Amino acid sequence: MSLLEVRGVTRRFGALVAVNAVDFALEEGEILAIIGPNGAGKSTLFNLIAGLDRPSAGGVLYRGRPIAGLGPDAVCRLGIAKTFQIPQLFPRLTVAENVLVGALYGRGAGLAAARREAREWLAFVGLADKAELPAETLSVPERRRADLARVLGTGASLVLLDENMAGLNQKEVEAAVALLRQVRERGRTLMVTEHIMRAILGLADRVVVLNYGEKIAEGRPDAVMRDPAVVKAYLGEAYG
Amino acid sequence: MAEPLLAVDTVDAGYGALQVLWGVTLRVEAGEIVSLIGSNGAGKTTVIKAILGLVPLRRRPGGAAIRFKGERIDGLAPEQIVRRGIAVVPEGARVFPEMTVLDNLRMGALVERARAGEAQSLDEVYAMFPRLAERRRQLARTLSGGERQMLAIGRALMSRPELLLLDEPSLGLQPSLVRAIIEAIREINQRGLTVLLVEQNVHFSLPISHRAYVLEQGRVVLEDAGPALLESPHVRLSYLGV
Repeated sequence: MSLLEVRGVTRRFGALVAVNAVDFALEEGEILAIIGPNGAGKSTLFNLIAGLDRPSAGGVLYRGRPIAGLGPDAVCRLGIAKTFQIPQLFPRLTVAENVLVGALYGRGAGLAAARREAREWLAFVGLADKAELPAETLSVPERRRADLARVLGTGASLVLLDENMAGLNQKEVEAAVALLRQVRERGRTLMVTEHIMRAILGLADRVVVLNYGEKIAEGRPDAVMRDPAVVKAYLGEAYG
Repeated sequence: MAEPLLAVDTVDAGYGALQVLWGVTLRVEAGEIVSLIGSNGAGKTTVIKAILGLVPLRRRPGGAAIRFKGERIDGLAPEQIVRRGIAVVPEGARVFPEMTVLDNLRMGALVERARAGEAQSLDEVYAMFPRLAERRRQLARTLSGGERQMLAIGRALMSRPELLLLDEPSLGLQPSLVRAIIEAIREINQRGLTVLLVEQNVHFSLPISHRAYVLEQGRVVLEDAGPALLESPHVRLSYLGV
């Protein structure tokens, strides 16, 4: 059984079909990237999987169980957690408290165990020395890592990262790719969306490409990026 | 060498804690069409916003600057920059939906430099886009996407600018309309107006550009003649990494 199955998922907003009959599956331990030009439907698709939105048609199965429409809290407790394009940290709480919220909520652990868990994930993302600072004092790269620690702290098996590398410089992108590979080594499954193609090439096992809400390609990253349909979606069509 | 019409010099800019542009330098000579291309998230729109004073530049040692006709315009308010002769066609056209086509166009001529010539500007815009003349009494919200784009271009021309900035004018348009927009930009340029075109679709932007810059993760990574860049494998590399 696949960890996640997306079956014919469609989301309409009035006349606009943001996601149109999209199918794919995600296996345990995989790193899958969803890419596509602006407005392709990537964030909408992530929201549908994370329970922040419900599909107009189609279904989402997690470990064989339908989850579409459950709501983000229930989906999180089942084992799917998501970061946001703009990290949604609690600005006045300390960095450690932010991660603690994830650990307490996601797995309903006791306070002592959750604190331990939070400390471990903060060390893992390299923020141990910032643990007691208010989250609002963090730089953008640090906020992204704190957001990742919080999501990992929920104990989620499937981690959804929505443009977790936006605004990072080259070096920080390389560090983020290395960190996400370690997340996988710790047994987590990752689904990411990202504009930085070099990061995708260095990270993803498989890529699904969306354009105007439809899946136009799927496969290994280097092959997919050379697919004429994908090149056309990104660079535009020739006009006579 | 003569001063370029527009010179963007080592500009850093961003939003709050997020830095988007990293040392961006580019120039636009009088009479040119220059394109700024790059995949989404590269920072193209932020360059436009920086030129217009809609995002502040970050101070850096040695100094970032934006010069128009040799004079510093960074730090000026957007309306002051428009008064000096820069007009924009924003992404998604952003026409005033509850105003008529004619009133939208007249809004463009509110700047002092354009008031006296309003009637003549209007004739020129209608000659270029006869569709706008046909629909001049209609509310802008009733226009199609392509007509809105024409209206936004017309509104910008009404301010009698010396430099026209266009942000993704092909976005969401069907091919026949894209062709019409390309032709309009070419014609505007042949009449002597300088153009900086931000555009993701390289088949649209590069063939008509004298020069083009490729922006990647907020940095200029390539500069060449437009048609030459169209043949360059580096462009695909920049967009898709392979």
